[in-house]
Amino acid sequence: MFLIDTLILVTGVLLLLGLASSKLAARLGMPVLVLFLLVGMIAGSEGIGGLDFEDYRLAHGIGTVALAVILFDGGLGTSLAAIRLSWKPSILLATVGVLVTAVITGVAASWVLDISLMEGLLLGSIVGSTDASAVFVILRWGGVSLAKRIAAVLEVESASNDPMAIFLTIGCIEVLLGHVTIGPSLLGLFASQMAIGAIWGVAGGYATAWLVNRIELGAAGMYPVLVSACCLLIFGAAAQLGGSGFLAVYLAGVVIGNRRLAFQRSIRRFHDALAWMGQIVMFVTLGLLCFPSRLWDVGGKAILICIVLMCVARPVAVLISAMPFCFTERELGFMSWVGLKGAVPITLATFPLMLATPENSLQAPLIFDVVFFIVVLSAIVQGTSLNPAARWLGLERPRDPEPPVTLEISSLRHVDGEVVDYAIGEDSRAAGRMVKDLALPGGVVIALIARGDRVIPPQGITRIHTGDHVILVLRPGTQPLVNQVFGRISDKPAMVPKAIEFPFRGSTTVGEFEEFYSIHIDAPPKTTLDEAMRRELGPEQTALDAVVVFGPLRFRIQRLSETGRIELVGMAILPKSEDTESEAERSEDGIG
Amino acid sequence: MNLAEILQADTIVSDLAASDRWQVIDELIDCLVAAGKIKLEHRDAVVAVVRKRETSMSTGIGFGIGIPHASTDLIDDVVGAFGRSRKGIQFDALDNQPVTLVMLFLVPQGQFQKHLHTLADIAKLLHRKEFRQALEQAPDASTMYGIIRNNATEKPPRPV
Repeated sequence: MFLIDTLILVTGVLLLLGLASSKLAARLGMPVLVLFLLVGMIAGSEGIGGLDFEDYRLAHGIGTVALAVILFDGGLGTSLAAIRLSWKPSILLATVGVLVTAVITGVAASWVLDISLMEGLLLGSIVGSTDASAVFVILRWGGVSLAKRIAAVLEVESASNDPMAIFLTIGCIEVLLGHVTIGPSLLGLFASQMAIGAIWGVAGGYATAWLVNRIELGAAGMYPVLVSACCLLIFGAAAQLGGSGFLAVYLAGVVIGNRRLAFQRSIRRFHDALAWMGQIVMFVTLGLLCFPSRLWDVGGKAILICIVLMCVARPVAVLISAMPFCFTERELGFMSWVGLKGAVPITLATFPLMLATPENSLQAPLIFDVVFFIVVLSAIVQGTSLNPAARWLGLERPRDPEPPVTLEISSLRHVDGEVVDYAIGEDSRAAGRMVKDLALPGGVVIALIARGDRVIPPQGITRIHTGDHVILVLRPGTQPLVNQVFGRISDKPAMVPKAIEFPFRGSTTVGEFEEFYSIHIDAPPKTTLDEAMRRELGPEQTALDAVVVFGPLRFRIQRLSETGRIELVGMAILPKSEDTESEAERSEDGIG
Repeated sequence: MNLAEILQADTIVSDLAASDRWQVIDELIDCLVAAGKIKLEHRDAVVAVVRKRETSMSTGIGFGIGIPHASTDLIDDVVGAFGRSRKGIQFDALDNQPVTLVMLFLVPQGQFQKHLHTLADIAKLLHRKEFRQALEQAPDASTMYGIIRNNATEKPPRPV
């Protein structure tokens, strides 16, 4: 048997074991990554598998690629709305918070392990970040459904704090190896890592989205590969130029994920799969790398450091970073508890292992073992207790009901539209109605109705039954309206009129208004209502329910797009001044 | 100007045949043509301006009310027609409710600013639940006109 055949066999078996363990994880209420690590440990040199694997360089390589893919996928799934909701506390948590965590943990570690302060800080930096994949797994697929703002802060923080931890780790190593001294040069390193990473990431994201939408490739399957290739290119180029590749791919993911993209669905699926693959491979590899017997030796000390990390360092970091943003004590408490550690620390712990030489006497193996222990402990203790903690603190919110959309079949490429499948539930507004009676907006066509194994060509008099799948072709932007048509009766209507207002689209032009109502609005006729109102309000004031008065008309913002454009306004006619007077008189009459 | 001054019994349709907002515009304008308020040769042009306004966004303001409106130089004075639908009209209103009461409101070209408050008063009047219920229960057009005349001059009570 060739070596590669053995390798393929082993990889297959390990992947399958990893997948099988994920089924177990749900049942045990344990984070899946712990199980992946266990699979690796059991398969490893001290376990029943007896696989001898001690290649730190390869492990570091695998870890880095997997991390890049996981962060990119995390970026793809981060909505701009979540970022807009949470970026201020998230950024502070991801920078200052990581620094504070690292320093407090580092000081404790140097004392507990009796190592130099700098080595202690290195350990602190390695475990400083909250793990994105662990938090995503728990927040998105786990049982917890958190209040929106908290969920957004935690997601954006965990996705964006790895670059800071990576930077701190590299900085500590550089100082320990005597390459840089603490001071301006370290700050310069930080600035260049962040700035170059951010610029490359955002620019690369836009370029990738542009390329995907322009290029003609032979097969649909090539588009996800194209995006992956761009992701690797962005990471590599940023790192080559001295920037943070991790920050770059995360931001590129955010940009790409929030743009309209051809084959969006398959691109997302592909990277989701890649990220899972990355998780399993990375954790199993890291599990293989560890020696459980050595973990026992450091156990007691590692538990001490872990307690400091979970009960002192993280809470202090959260307090300092989130204090200015009016969170309640319960919310701060919960955020302190979500300091889950994951793959990043273990991957980072391989850095000193690679760089340790007899001359520089770095305590690399000790650091690796302690970090490994902390990660496993944190994942088990915090991972399993997050749901009860959320419930206990009263931060849970009822799960959103399943949306009526079951799947988005695909985004069409040359046609500006999407194909969407709605499953008609018993309580759907459309159930039992005829196609012609559905209040479908313009630009929406029912392509077919699937009932059982029959395909029904829709006609005006076709009645929609419970259990049908209605497949529609939509113009972009119409989906919220269509969701209402097929939504649940019990759903609150999206727009409850607050006042007597005539609705208008934000895209209506000032010229059209002047034509309809022969009134003068002080703006060029080509200006849209969206532009005119945003100019009056300024970016700070542009929010739901904000009001602008043009002459006798008052416009109120009823709906904003994710990008902050005004999509819908309500126009009210202001009462004449003498009207209000006479009304006031009458009410006095009424009293008398 | 109030709703009772704009309408008369023969510009009220008590049982609309239309099932969407485009049909209801046609139906109410035909009613105005029959009542002699709009000349037959101007019918299509008037339909076009109302449709144009309606295309920019539905005038369904919620609560089952639709108020299609426009200005045109083909009329000399404000004209209006009122319709009631028993089955509900698909009006693309924001609250997705079918519309049962439709007020078509036409203003001479260039006079909309002067009549904006008439439009606002009509909307306010139709916003009153008892008024809507009375109109929905009226047996015929002349009863509906009576209800409108009784309510139109009375200003709606101030919200508490």
